[in-house]
Amino acid sequence: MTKKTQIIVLLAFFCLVLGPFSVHADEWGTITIPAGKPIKIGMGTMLTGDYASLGIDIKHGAEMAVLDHGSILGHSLVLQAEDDGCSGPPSVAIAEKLCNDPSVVGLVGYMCSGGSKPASDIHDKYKVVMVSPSSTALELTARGIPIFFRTCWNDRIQAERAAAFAIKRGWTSVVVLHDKSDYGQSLAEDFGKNIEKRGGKVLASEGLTRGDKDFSPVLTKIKPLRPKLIYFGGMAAEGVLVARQMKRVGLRKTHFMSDDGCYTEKDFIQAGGKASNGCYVTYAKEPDPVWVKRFEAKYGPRQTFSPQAYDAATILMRAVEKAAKKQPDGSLIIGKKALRDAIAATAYDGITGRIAFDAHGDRTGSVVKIYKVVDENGKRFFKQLEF
Amino acid sequence: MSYLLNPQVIIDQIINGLTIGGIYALIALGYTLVYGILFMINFAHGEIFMFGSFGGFAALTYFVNSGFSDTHPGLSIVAAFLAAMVVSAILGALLERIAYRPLRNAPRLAPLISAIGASIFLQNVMMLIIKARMQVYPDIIQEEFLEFGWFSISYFQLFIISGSVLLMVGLYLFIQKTKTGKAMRAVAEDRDAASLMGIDVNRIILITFVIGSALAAAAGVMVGIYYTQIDHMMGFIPGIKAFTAAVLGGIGNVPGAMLGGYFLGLAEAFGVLFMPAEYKDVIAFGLLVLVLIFRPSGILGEVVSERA
Amino acid sequence: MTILLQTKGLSKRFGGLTALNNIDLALESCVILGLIGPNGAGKTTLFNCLTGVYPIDGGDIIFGNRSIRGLKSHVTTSLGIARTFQNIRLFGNMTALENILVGQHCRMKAGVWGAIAMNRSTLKEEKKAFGKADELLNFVGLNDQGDTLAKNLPYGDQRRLEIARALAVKPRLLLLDEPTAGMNPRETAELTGFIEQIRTELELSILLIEHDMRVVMGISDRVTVLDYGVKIAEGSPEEVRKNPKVIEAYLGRLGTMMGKRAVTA
Ligand SMILES: Nc1ncnc2c1ncn2[C@@H]1O[C@H](COP(=O)(O)OP(=O)(O)O)[C@@H](O)[C@H]1O
Ligand SMILES: [Mg+2]
Repeated sequence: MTKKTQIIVLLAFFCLVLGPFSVHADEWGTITIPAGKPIKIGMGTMLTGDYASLGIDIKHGAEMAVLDHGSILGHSLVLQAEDDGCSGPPSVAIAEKLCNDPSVVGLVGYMCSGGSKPASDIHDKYKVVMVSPSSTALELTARGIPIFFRTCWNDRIQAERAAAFAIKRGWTSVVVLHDKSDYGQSLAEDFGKNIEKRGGKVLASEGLTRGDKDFSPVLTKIKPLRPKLIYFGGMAAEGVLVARQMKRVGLRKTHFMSDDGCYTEKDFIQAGGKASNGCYVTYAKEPDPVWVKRFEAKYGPRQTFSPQAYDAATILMRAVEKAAKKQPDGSLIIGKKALRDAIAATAYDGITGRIAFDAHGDRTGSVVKIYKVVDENGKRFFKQLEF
Repeated sequence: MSYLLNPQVIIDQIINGLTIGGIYALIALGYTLVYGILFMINFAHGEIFMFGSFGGFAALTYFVNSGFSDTHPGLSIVAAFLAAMVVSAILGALLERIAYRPLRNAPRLAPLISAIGASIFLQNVMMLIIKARMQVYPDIIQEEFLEFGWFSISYFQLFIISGSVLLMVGLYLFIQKTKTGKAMRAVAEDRDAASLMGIDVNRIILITFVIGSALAAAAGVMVGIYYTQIDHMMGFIPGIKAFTAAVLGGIGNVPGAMLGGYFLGLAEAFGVLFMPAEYKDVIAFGLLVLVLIFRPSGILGEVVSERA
Repeated sequence: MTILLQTKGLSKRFGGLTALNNIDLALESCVILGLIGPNGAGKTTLFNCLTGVYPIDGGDIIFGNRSIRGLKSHVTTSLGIARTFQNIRLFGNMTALENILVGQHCRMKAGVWGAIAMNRSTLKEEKKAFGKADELLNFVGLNDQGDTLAKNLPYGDQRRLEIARALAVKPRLLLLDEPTAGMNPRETAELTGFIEQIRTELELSILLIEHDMRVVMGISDRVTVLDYGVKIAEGSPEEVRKNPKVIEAYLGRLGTMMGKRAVTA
């Protein structure tokens, strides 16, 4: 045989052998789950540290979804949860690890915007989808990353709603505090802009350090400004201390308002005690009460994002079901682009309401509600306000 | 800026500064006492403070669960302080016996490395115990305020300020007046001569660790009651800040550590008036650098033993 | 007379240097034993061995009726051996009175708990200790200096304070390491009388290292001479003075005649 004929024969051979598979070819590549092997759902959330109760709540939500779903096309499901520390470096490390794990189809997470942002670049590189239940920062869906979705809201809405509420209550002079994180800072700054757009005034803006416990000096500095409202962008561990220490330094007529990071029974209401009374936070509308009952029977009181995590995991699993092609040998082949498109096309009634995504990966039609901590009948809880 | 310098803000910041300053001072005393005697920096002291805080937390949680704190809130808190001090005192003594005494005559770097190792070890032990989750001190006593017209002070602040002063006066009297206190000073000045005067030097060193640890434990419970949140890393930043306070006052110098603690607390409180609050920690470390450059012996001067 | 202190074949080496070689020594109660010898002979080292500062390499030390070999300094002290130092080692930042109180440390019972509780017996003991310390200050003639920081005392007073501090231990054996070093003749004479007085009034034995020959020969009951870590002579001051070995040791080393002039020991 001449060299030319050799090449032709070889090519013909490859076409013959690979022919059947080319049906499943996906421009982003495929994930293969061998016969009898489980499908792994990755997860990045905070499991240790100051916001761990929030992160573990998220894990429980996803775990329950996986248990509810059972299996996909005869393959069992495994949730592999990793500790993302609510920050960039560990989230990136998890992204590198799970995106390179051939049995991971996608990921629920990361918990914090500061983790989701750098990690989504890694996920984009490997084209592994991620659905965050809790990363709300504005810019996450503004960076043109096709594999990023979230079942929570965009902080644009959260800042807008919170500001509108404050103005309506007549709290026109505000001080804005934040924890310098991607999440807290952008939310707080956006809140401030919304206040000024509506004719209010931002008297001062200060950054606090995560993990610090003593905010009395900065609150004392704020005190002579006599703000009607202090808005805090950040998490409950710091938020509850701000609320407590406001009372301590004598800011007792000033209202406190914060975000979904503070919408947590354990770290805000319980940890704040009496000082949490009358504080305002923003969060989605209450999830399906039947589901909440089921969840709390299994895991105890829910905190914040377990419903969003439940829905995120469910959407991901449903999309896998749709995109996966079962092979004669029992293995599954999942096109990465096909999986991404299946998620993008989601139209599903979850426990947090109707879920569909816009072109950026943001949830369409999400609503943010205002809650107030009230003490009624000897029980302290977040009461949803009519607004 | 000028609005910040009204008397109300100044009084409020003095209260803030004295409160946290008292806590820094109590921790700083542990560094200074040990340095005064052994010329080593016990970098695991922040963890002793942390364990004390958890000792108090465990006791209070127990009292809450058993209902004892409902009937005897004050007694519960006193008992929590004692429990914390016992926990830290035992830990401090163990640390001295296991991590430092075998290295007493080793080069100076050896006990330092041992201290850092002990510090990391203790952090990890507590991390395993609490599964790395933040714990919240129970609210046994509701925070009330003493109103003075245009300013007010919380009972907690009053309690911390007076409690820390009381402990420090007690320590000062102990060191100045009692037999053991005099022995501590003698050992600090000249270990061998003290031994030849019939003082059991090892025992005095152990007592020094125990006292420093108990003071740190008191600070730990105060922090728990005042700031409510505690975790296994809580000793790190206060530890370094208290070390800064000790260096500020002149390491090895007992009144210096007290002064340094209050100075640092007030500097932090007033510092945020002139710069963004996010730089609060920078104040402490900035001061540390400045002191080390311009006055390494501290405000009151390092007490250096005068050996023959 | 009973023997208070005895060393048997005591040896001490520093690396290759034998600082003390097979020293046999015996000291009865209420006796002043002068210890002389050229610089570097091993006199201070002997003190350090007796007081547990250095572990010894051979032999034994008997104090009273027990071996004190290997005991820590604070134990030998509480057994009744007190000392002063060739270079003054007072606690400089403590007052004269406090220095003496520190000396009483091992004779007091109250511990940390007593100090915290401030109970009756502790207070009583403290009061007694202060009285005793005052007495000792008077005894060494520092009546008005009780509140002065030790480092601010004149040199001669510091020497006396160091002796007072050692006496506070209530010793049965007092080790004095060159107590008159750096003193003028008048001070030296005073101190010599004082040492005599201690021996008779407090009924204790004294081991005295001294470079001033007039002092040694004047108050010692017996004299022992060390050279290069070896005991070369022993006897009454008169015998030792005439011993040719001793003369040679000093002559060979210093080229100075023994006699009326002071010789550095
Ligand atoms: N700690 C030590 N380490 C090494 N050598 C020592 C030590 N102490 C004393 N020496 C040596 O032992 C010898 C005796 O010293 P010392 O007892 O001080 O003499 P003196 O009779 O003048 O008091 C000297 O040669 C001295 O250098
Ligand atoms: Mg000598």
